[in-house]
Amino acid sequence: MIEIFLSQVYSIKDMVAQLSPIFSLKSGSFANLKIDMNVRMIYPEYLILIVAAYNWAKENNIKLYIDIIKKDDNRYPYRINFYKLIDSKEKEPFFNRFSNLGKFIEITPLKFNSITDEQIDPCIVTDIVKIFRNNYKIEDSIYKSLNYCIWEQVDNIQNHSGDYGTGFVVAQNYPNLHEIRLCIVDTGIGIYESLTKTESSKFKDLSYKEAIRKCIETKVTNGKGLGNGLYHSARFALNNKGCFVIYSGNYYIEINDGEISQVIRGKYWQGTIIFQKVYTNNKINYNDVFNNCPIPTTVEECDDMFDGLWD
Amino acid sequence: MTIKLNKYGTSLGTRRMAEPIRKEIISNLNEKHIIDCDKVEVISSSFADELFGIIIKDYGYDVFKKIIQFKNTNDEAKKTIKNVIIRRLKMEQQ
Repeated sequence: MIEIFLSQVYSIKDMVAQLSPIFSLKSGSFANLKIDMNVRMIYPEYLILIVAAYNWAKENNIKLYIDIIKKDDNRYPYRINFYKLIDSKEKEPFFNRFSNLGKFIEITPLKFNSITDEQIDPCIVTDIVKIFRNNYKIEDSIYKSLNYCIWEQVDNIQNHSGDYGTGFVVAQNYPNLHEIRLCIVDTGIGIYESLTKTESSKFKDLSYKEAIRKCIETKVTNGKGLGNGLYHSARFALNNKGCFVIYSGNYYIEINDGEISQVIRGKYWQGTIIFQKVYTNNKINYNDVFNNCPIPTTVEECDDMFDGLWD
Repeated sequence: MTIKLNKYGTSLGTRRMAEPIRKEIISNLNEKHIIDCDKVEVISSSFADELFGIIIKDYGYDVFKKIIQFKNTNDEAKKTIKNVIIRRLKMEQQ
């Protein structure tokens, strides 16, 4: 029996600690998964982790028998499709499913398959950016750069998952708390494997711990990409004085209130979790985030080499 | 030949989205390909690198300039593409 008590979860680390036993189950086995939902406030980043772990088990032919414990009918988990995505038989109460546009996105699978050419729906990133546009008054170039950063995170899921796989994304605006929460999760090979197991990677000798620290630096790549995916997202979090967590395997690193933590050991998560909490009252300085490294800013230095490329 | 990128979305992000477009381009290296970015708001560097950077890596920048021309590219997308080109060229020099 694996028991999850949402009332005891205060962070990504806590949630991983409760879900971690799932990843030690063997293919073909089964287990009971009891989820105690009795908590005043249910945050989407915890529910998405349950969904991802459950679906990892399902893909690996592990049967989890779900038992939900709850006193009241909190509609939020229904509204963000939590029960549906863990194949729970909980009957959805009747309520109006008001539009999510610009407020939140439900827990959404990011599915792809190279063989069938199934692609991740590009609208999902546009919808996330709409939440920021509606609730965070920043200059237009920053929205575009956010869009760019989120795409890089989504692309990382594909890079970490081989030819086919599923990640999940969820986002929620909290107007009273002045924050937007965004969580992108996969159960792929994780950052260490991704950085070190490619022949062309110059980071082959990194330890697990070093790999997590490295991934928020610039130009860190396994040789397949350009390696700025998480760097700008981390710079954004530092500048916003928000919260940013990268968790992969047994290690995680956090950014809180403009400070980067040491790499900390935690319970095992198969794959990668990227969690961001953006404070919509805090300003962002575009130059601080993007000028140190060449994305959408200055490339005028060699403009003549591009002659003839544009009409 | 004109390739309208908005056929694939107005926000273009992953390598996997870019791969088939690149294959379409390299299947005909003798032709000029007009990359029409009309209505495309954002191109991520992953997408741009997979689509354009890999062509530079595999065939060189001279061939790239010969076969690719951009149309209706907004400033941000233009900068991303420029950066991908610069980065790929620097990588080739190392």
